[in-house]
Amino acid sequence: MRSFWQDIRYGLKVMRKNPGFIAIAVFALALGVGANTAIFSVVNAILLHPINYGNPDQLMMVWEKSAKRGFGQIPTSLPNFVDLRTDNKSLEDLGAFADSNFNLTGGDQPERVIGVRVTASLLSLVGIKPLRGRLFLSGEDQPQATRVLILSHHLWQRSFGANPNIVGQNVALNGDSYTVVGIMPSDFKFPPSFSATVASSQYAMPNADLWVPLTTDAVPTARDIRTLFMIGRLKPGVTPAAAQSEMNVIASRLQKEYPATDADMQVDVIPLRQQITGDIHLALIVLFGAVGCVLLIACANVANLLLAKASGRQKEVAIRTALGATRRRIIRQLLTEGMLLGLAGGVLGSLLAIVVLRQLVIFSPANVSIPDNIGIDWQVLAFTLLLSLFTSFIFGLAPALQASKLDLNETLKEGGRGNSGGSKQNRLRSLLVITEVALALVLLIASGLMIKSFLRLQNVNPGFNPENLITLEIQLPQNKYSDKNRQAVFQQQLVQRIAQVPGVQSAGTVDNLPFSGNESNVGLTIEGQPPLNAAERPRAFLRNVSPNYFESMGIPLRKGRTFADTDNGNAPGAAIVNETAARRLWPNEEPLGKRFKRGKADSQYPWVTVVGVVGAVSHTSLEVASQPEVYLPFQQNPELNLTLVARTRSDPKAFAGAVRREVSALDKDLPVSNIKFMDEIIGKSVAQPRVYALLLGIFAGLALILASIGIYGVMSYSVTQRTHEIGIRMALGARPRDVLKLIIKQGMVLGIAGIIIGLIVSFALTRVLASQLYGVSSTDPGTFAAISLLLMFVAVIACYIPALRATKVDPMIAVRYE
Amino acid sequence: MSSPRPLIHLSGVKKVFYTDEVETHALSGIHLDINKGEYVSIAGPSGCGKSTLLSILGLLDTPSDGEYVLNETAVENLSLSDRARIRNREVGFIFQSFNLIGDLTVYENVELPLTYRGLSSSDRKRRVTDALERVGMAHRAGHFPSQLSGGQQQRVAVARAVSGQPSILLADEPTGNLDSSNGEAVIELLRELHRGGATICMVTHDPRYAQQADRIVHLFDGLIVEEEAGSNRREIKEAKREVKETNAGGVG
Ligand SMILES: Nc1ncnc2c1ncn2[C@@H]1O[C@H](COP(=O)(O)OP(=O)(O)OP(=O)(O)O)[C@@H](O)[C@H]1O
Ligand SMILES: [Mg+2]
Repeated sequence: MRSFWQDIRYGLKVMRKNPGFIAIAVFALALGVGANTAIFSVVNAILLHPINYGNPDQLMMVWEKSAKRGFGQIPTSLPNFVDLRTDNKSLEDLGAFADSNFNLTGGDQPERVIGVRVTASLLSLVGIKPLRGRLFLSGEDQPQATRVLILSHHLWQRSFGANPNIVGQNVALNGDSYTVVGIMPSDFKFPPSFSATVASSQYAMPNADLWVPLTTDAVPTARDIRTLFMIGRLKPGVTPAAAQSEMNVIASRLQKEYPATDADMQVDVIPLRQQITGDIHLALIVLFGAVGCVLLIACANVANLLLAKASGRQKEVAIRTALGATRRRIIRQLLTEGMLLGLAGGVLGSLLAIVVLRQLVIFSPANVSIPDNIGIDWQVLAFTLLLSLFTSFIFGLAPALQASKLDLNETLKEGGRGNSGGSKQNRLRSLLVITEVALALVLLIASGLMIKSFLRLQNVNPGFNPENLITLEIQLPQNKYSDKNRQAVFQQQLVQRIAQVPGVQSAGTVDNLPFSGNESNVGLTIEGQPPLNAAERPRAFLRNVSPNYFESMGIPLRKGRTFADTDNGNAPGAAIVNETAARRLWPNEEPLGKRFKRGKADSQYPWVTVVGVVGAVSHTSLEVASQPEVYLPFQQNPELNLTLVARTRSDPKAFAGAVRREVSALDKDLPVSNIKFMDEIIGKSVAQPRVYALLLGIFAGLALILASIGIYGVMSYSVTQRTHEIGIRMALGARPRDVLKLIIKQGMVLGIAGIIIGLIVSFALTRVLASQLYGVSSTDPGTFAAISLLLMFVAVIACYIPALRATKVDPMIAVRYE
Repeated sequence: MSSPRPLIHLSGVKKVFYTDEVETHALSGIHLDINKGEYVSIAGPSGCGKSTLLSILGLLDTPSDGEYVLNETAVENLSLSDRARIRNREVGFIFQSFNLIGDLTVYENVELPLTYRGLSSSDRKRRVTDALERVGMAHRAGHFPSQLSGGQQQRVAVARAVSGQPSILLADEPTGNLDSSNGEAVIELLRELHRGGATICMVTHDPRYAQQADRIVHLFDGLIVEEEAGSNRREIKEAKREVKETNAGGVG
């Protein structure tokens, strides 16, 4: 025990004697341990732990799909759901849900909330108990049952002051009275967060504020209107594959039974976990890779420094051996030193992790919800800590291993001859540095591509002008506005009132605002073209707008006219199509004056005439190329759903009050809290690529710093080692710049070797990123070249300081050296 | 046949080292001229300033005081780069510990001073081959220093020193790390070079080797205390006298 303290004391002395070396090694370790732990903890919390349901591996998402129409995952219709639920034997239960927006009154003030309708047993199916009250009872999803709802924890806190007595009380949803029967715990999230490509547009699950039973009168009952998502729980012992093949049988039966609507229907059973990680899976792998790279570089750095130190300590070890220290004793001493180093780096790294994590929470983009109760992931910290300790141990041992191989005679002989050299020992160190540079290059290129892609994405023209646009989503309550006429009047008055607000340039309404996530996709019948069945009909996205919508949004008119006030209930049906729809529906023909209708030729919808063609708009995301869109005048198709858009002459934020006042003046029961600004909505839509680019950028920056420390360390050590040789060269007439060139060239050989290897690896690996990139090839030559140059430049800088030191070598040492 | 101006002219050269408030007067006023083609050896007890003097002669170090004219150029106050250039052209060093660079082959070691001069590679090749042939090491051009004996290494070092055809060869105890037979071989090599016209200044402890020179400069405590003619000079003088005598005899 005493000798242990001796070892520690001696180790501390060694560390004190080499402050520069220790600082660099500890810094590298701390960066590797700290930053990685912090960022990884966040990634872990956001992306890896979303399922906290009971036995989540038994939970399956069940989708319809249509290979014929090229739709991968689509919701189902109520009748299809009922058939799938009753006919299957693989699932304990199958539940359906659909999200829907509600006006909530009865809380602090009227507000717009996101509700999810769920079949009565669905919440118990996912296996989470309520915080207060109860879940839904069977039968509560019958149309005649008393209306009940369950509050989410955050809505309970936000709008009901966390009042525990709210259970049992009544609140109003869309004007109807509901009894609160339960409150869910704060970490309960249903639906789970995943996104799916529904009919070629991206659909992200909302964060629900409350749940109500899915009653058959609240959702469309037609077999071909597909609005329901399904989650089921496998019976014990049943595999997903078995469930899938049973569903296939049911699907083919439904195909035969209902050829008009289900002719091409198929069913897909996907484990919920896979569904959730599906689209973040790749991002995760890339981030894992990045974390691993940074950690490897940090370890390589420490290894390098310890190896460098080791050759410097050969003599010391030899002397201690000569003085009678056993090999075991020396190894223990060196291990103690490695441990001290590892501990110092680890402690500093943990502190760094805590600080970085706090900063990440504070500075996270508003639209990325980093949970504020996020903590250090201790498993990750333990892992990185162990790895760095392990590295320090292994490479701390190097001098002992070298010493055991040391041939004293040989050393003396070499020394006696007074020649410079001994490059064999440097080979491992050079290899480590080359690896560091190569890894850093791969990370830098990956993040360079992501950043470039993100910038491209940001510069995509969405087809309208998102600046100075204020929006408010309004849901007219059914009980008060059931009359179509009232809906039309409300819309007209709303637009008139808002347009008169000073500073508002133009105001309009639309049912599905771009980037709102709301979308309706309809099949069309074109006049003069042969009738097609549902699966073969051309499809377009439908928007229901006011005359000034295009002007307000800044959507350019290409041909014909926009809607006028005269396009009302008394006038013939009018329609405006976008360029994409015009091209697809009437290729090489003049679209103006053409007629079409929703659904089949004899559907209840009226024929409408194309009066104008407008530019295409990015509706779901900037990445998705423009889709065919058709616009109908709201006055001819009034509905309960509308979103106000107003173009203001100055900062739209200043108009929130005025908009609220005007809407409340029209109807004081309408919630007005949900005002959004178009530029922010678009900003949110690129939040994920931004965070992704940001994280990769941070990792790449770390890698760059660590790699340059690595180059610096090795070159610095090499200069020390080559001092005598440099002295000889100077004695032979090398000028300072010859020496500078010598050292920088040596560093550049390492740098360039690393860059070449890194480029090869990047070419192979960045393909993985291809699906995450927008408008940038995964082997974009510009990025590859720029990043290589950047790394080369950093390498030169890292070599420059040691090289400068080399020029200061006193050539006298050539004479004095014995 | 001495040239009108000496190749090297030192006058009042002093060197003081300051370390931790201790002043060491390594040289305390050296006056020394070395003529072109002369072979001078410097002798004296350890610590008397021999290496310091040689370093100043070789522009590795600057005098604290005094003047130094090398080949008609005052060199006390030149920039680092200029000193490196002159060192490269005018001076060839031979060290006690050989100082070959272990990572470079024999050929590359000899080539090294030429590379700092911007010579074409064919030019360099000719000179390196020449120099290696003169020391009898041409057959070892591709070897590394560690594959050579000490005597062989020192011969390579001599080749490196002469490859650039410097005005003066400076040798600091070139035999110090060699056994006597190898030492003698190196001294013989220097004498051959001298016969070929080289100017040499050599520090040595060994009086036998010192005697090889034209002139022996005795240093003590940073001062030249005595200069004597070496046996080489005496031999030449004797030889000349013999020639005269035979001539005279022949005539007379
Ligand atoms: N860089 C230096 N700093 C301080 N003192 C020095 C330095 N170089 C030499 N000296 C001192 O100057 C004096 C002369 O040293 P020098 O090396 O010239 O002696 P030397 O005659 O070559 O001795 P030796 O025969 O042992 O090689 C010595 O006292 C030495 O300690
Ligand atoms: Mg000496």
